[in-house]
Amino acid sequence: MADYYLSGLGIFGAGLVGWQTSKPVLAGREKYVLADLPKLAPAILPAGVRRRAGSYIRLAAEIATEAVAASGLDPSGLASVFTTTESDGTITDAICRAICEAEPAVSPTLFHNSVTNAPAGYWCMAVQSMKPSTSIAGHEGAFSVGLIEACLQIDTELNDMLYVCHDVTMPHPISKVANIKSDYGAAMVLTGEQKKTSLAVINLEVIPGSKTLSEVGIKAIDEIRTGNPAARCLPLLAQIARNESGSVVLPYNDFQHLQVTVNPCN
Amino acid sequence: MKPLRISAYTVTSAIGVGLHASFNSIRDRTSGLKPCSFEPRLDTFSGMVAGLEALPVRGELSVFDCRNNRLAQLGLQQDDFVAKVDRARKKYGSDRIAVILGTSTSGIQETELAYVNRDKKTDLLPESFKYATTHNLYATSNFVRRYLGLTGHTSMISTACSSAAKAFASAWRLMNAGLCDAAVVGGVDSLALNTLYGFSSLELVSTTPCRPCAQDRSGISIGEAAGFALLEWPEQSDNTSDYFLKGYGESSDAYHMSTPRPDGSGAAMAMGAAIKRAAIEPAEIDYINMHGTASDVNDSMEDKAITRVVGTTTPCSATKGWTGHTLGTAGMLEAAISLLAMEHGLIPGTQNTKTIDPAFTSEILLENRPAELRNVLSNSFGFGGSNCSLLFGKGGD
Repeated sequence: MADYYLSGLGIFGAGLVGWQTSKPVLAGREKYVLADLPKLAPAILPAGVRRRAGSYIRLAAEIATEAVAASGLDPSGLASVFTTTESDGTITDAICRAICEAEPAVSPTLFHNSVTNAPAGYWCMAVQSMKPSTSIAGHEGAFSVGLIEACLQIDTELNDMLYVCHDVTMPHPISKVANIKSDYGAAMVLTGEQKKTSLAVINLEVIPGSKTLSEVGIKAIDEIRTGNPAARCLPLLAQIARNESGSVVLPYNDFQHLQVTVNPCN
Repeated sequence: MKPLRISAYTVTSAIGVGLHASFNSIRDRTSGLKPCSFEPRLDTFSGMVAGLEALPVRGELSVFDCRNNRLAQLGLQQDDFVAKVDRARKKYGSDRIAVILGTSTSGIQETELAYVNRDKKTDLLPESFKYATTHNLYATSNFVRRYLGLTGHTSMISTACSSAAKAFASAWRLMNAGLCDAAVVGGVDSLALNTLYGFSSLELVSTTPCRPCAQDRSGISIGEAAGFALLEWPEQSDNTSDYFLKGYGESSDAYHMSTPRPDGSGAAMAMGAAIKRAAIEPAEIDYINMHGTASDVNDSMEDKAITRVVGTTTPCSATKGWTGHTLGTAGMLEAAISLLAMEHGLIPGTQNTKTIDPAFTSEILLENRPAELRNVLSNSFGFGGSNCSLLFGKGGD
């Protein structure tokens, strides 16, 4: 695989809201402070959509907006990959409750927002991008699966890519069976060529799964990492935040890991 | 692009378990749509695969047991597919064959049943409910990977009704990058109350067997299907199949969550991209298998898109009158129908439809028609404005 440039980042998690404020924390230069997650109201979504959208759609729009703004690129020109492990558990819960009723009545709005690619659909509408968009799942390895898909589209379709990986908590009782402890998401703009905004160049290599997975090395942040499949990317973001060359090993599938080598651009 | 050989494929839906039965139903004009016994409270027809209740997932994989994985298993067992993947596994190694599938709702019926049986006081779901291996989006890809003894890249694409079609595109990219030597692609989606009541709430479901492209079309019939294909590079494969994935095209509508762009421009972009990637002329397409859901807006915009991209003389048809709309796996089911059409030299007509919408300008066939087919385009369009077209061809040159 080729080299890819990371040309814009967005992040949202407990105590990690926005790349600029999270960067010194992830780099270990500032203390991590756990904070309640702010309620999101991403301005890029039209008011009517925003009102009816749950956190699954809102979080994706929020971090995508941040990453794209940081990249300085026109969002309508970006193709996209969205990764999730659980899709929208709040809607699953609501529809499953509705169909248990004697006369099931499913909300049409909830149903059309129930598709896994709802965040992708609303994003493409918001920025008027008719470029390809793929929504993909990969369980514990979801971040790596989506990152590979996004990078390969740079190679084969010559697109600049928006990559969004996120998962949000589910309501009781389905929360008991899915391992999402808190909302988390990361978004990145990936380009095939260096931009003025490029933070780092990354290289991907699939390796046998016997190697130890990377950690951030900050206990509270590693708890976020293990509490949400999307947050498995945190060691990569920490490596970028440190602004040092190095590699991280991330989960990919039951037998293979993904090694991402990072070299800062500045 | 460099064509990928379809070394093996199989499909199971309401019109048949495996390719032979599926083709016979098309040849004999036998629809698989019947009154919806899966949910008799709904006044609709559905394309159900009979007998799954008695076909549990095999012993050591029983943690995956649910309707979606039962359907996947039944699908895998047809057309010598497992043996053909076995041969490829011995040749390339188990970690060099990717599994990339598409689904819209995975095994959601299992969660529906868990909610029905939840504790009335605590609201807790039954202890026996195995969410991660049934309903989680990855569950069926993981099941198929294990069933086939593979150990490499495993993913599930979920872009509503274009999911399985996009699995072919994702596979080509992975293989082109050398991340695997072969890929098992396909899709599995099974009947569930979420989708039956959900599409009903949008008033998109017909009370009669669906009539794609008809003047009096009245909405979709929902179906279920499992289908798989084994993709290899022709020079590496000792297989002699003469059928290839020659192109794919993807686009986004950027228009509405559940309504396609009415002028068909998003769909046309995907079709045009597939043709361009295959490096052929639009006039070289011999047949288009439409997405053709029988919803008012889909069929109308698709007719406009086809007319724009290939003109008004290329034979087209929609086959969902046989199978119902199988949602996330429609792209695989209709890839299989396209390949069967090429193999047997028979263009399927449009089942159930009597009179084509007089506003339509593309060449939509109602009756089956014998024809030599070299290039076939298959369309899949989904909620969220997700479009994908696949171009299959005879001869890899």
